Amino acid sequence: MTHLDDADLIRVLDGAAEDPHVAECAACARRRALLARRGERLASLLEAADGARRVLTLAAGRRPPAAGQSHRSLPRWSPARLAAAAVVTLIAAGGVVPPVRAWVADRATALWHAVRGREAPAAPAAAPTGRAGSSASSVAFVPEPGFFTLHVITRQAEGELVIEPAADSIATASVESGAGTGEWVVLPDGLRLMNAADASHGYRVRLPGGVTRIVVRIGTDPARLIAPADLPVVVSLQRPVPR
Amino acid sequence: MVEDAFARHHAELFRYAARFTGDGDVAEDVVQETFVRMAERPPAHDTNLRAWLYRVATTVALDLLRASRRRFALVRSREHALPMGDPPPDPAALVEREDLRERVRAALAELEPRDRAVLLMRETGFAHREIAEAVGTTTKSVGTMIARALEKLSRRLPLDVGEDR
Repeated sequence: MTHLDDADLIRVLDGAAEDPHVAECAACARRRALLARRGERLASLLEAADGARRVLTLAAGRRPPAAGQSHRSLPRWSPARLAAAAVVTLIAAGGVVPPVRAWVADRATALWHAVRGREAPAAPAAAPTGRAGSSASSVAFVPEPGFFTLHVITRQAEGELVIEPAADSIATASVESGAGTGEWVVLPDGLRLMNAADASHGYRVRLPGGVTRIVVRIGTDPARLIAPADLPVVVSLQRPVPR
Repeated sequence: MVEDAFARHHAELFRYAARFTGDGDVAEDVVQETFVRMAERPPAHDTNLRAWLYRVATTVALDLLRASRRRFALVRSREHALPMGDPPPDPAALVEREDLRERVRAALAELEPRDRAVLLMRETGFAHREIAEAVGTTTKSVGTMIARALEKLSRRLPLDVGEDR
């Protein structure tokens, strides 16, 4: 007599297949029961081992312009696009907010590539003065078409980030007047601003037409999506003043 | 649509992602990116939304696994900081629960990522056909993957307690 293997028994157990042999064969019935109990015990173990529940909420990705942010930066997207943009960031409530870590930026980069449905690309092609991983107070490179991520490590004492359209195919980023730490790092899909909380620099980024969407992340704030049609945009980097 | 889907599915999706990745922070990212994707490219109206969400979350999580081994090395280095929920009543319970978490996480981590996804989706009640679509395999292969994963887990976890094998 040929007995069913575990894979077949699982299919029968889960209703993905039928086989009258199981009902007639005591050995297969016993094995099926064992597999069923394994599944039940695994479910119990998983339940017992689950971590804390997190209360996640949707946060609007677009907010009213902050002080110093130009009216020009107000969205001009369609209602459908606005609805999509509203779903940008989940906030963990209940004090389970992960600390700021440098590797979060790497994760964000990988994730954006993941949701774009392709592997992270190599360094931008034909980078005139900047390439992925390089850093400076001023960088220029040719970005990949598509999403462009601007990740600002932290809000700072004062300062603004100006995002403008570029006249050619080269993206540039620079640190303008001010004081403190501020350096651009070229990423495979964007830029990271390595700034400090006590800095007061202003920053300017120019992006070419091939960029279809700009994702701005400042510290742990909700990400903000910007359409190239909305450029130029001025984003305040200033920390909110406690009331 | 997104708001409704979020309200209805985000909790279970987070739990799935946390089990799959072994890390709550990464799971948050997976959930976030899943709903971002839904907002940007919503599924067709006749799509099984729950299955679609799991499929996207699985893809994001699998891509994460492929994208950076370094990240997961970092995750391992900070396991002690993972959230544990409400404080247990006594230290012994804390140690016991942490030990269980670690054993389960380690056992799941030993599975092939697709086997892990298949097993965890099965735990949430998906049909083999839906699981197959989510992980990109045949319906028949799902049974094989589940059996393989259960067999492997049974050697690491007390799944056969009191059984006469």
